[in-house]
Amino acid sequence: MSVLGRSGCGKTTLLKILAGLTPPDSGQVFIDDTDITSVPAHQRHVVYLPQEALLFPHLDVCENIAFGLRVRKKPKSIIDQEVHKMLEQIGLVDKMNSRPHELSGGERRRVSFGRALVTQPAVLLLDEPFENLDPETRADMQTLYRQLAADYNITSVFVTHNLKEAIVMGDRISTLHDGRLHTYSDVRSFINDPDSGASEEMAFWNQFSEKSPEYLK
Amino acid sequence: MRNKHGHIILKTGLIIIYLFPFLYLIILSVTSRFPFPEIIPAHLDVSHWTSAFKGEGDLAQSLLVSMIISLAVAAVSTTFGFITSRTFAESKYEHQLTKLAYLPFLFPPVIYASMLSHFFIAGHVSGTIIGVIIGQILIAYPFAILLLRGFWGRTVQQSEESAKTLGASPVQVFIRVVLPMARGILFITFFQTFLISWFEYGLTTLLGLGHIQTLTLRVFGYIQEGNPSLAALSSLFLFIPPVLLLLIYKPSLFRRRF
Repeated sequence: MSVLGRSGCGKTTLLKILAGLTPPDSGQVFIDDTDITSVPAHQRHVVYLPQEALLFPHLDVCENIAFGLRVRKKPKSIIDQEVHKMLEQIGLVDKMNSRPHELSGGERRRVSFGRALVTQPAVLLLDEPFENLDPETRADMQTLYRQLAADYNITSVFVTHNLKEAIVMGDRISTLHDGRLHTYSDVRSFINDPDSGASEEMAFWNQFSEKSPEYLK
Repeated sequence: MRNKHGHIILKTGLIIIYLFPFLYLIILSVTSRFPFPEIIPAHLDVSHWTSAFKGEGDLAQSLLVSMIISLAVAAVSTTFGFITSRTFAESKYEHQLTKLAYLPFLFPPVIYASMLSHFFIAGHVSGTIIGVIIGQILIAYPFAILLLRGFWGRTVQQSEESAKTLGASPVQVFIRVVLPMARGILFITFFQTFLISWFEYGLTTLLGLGHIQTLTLRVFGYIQEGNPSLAALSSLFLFIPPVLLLLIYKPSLFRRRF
């Protein structure tokens, strides 16, 4: 599910409450009808990816990806197998011994995806993960993420303030406004809602296709 | 070409300036007679060195006392400074608490010690190693807090959050994420607080009541006695442990991490 909202509307706070990093003032959190409100973060199987692709600087790429499996005390053979499989999927086998500071922004983001997905979380929370990437890398990351999410069958909540990205990344779209989450039944109803801002954006781009080529010079 | 020669001359000059005091100390320490205006000592005497290495005499004892005091001060200050700086960082009164940590530095250590000496006497720790350690911790501990305060920023907080949601318990987060990230700054803090204690003179004199003879006190004692040979030898002993500490941890200090 994509969650759209203006800066400061509480998107990050929402994700941190779901992840167990911030206690809610009121209300409960459920996953599969199970109340996890009082469950500590490390036991929820809900992984939170912050806006910055923050890797552990003292670990190389391989160990960063293996981190979640090591703290769960998985057998070494399983860890090696899963980590290598993930490295192939994110296309960073040749960087497996590199340190985070040796990677580009896009590569760090790929490792952070890999580190999260290898633990097979119940829910993955992404907090504007592609915000600091150039458009081309952003598009590559969107494609990679959708592929990995499908391969691992992961439920995720994707927070963004980019309309196009919300539509591309989400099977369902919600908006957060004044502390209230409104979920649309489909993309068409989202576009048709005047409060979503989608129609204004489409109208903006449409005006250029209606003008003559001289207008664009 | 002229630049290259200039660099060589500059480097050579700096090396001579930095090395000359140590070489001179070594020469002073192996002679009992070196009257002015002689350039080379007439008579070599290594008896002070052999006594020191055999553990005989006051110098060896002072070296041991200094090591015990400085290692204790550094270990306690760094450990509690780490915990306290984190508490400060998580508190909504962070700025006020940090300002409190500056208070001990309003006074020179010897003035601070003279204000506290009454309590040390009442507590029967004056003139003891424990008393000197406590006194030095009162200076080194707030220094450690201020040094470590900068570690607890957004990067560490987000790393901890990521580790938690990846399944790490609070203990695992601390051991697998926080401590490794803090290794460099912890060593710097340990080293700095070690040096504060190692070279401390005024506070040690007041609280030690003359009974606790650290190496720094010995150096000044020998200088006042007019014993340049022992003063030189104790000065050399004074700089060896800090240099050793630096050499041991230099690779981890200067390895690029972030």
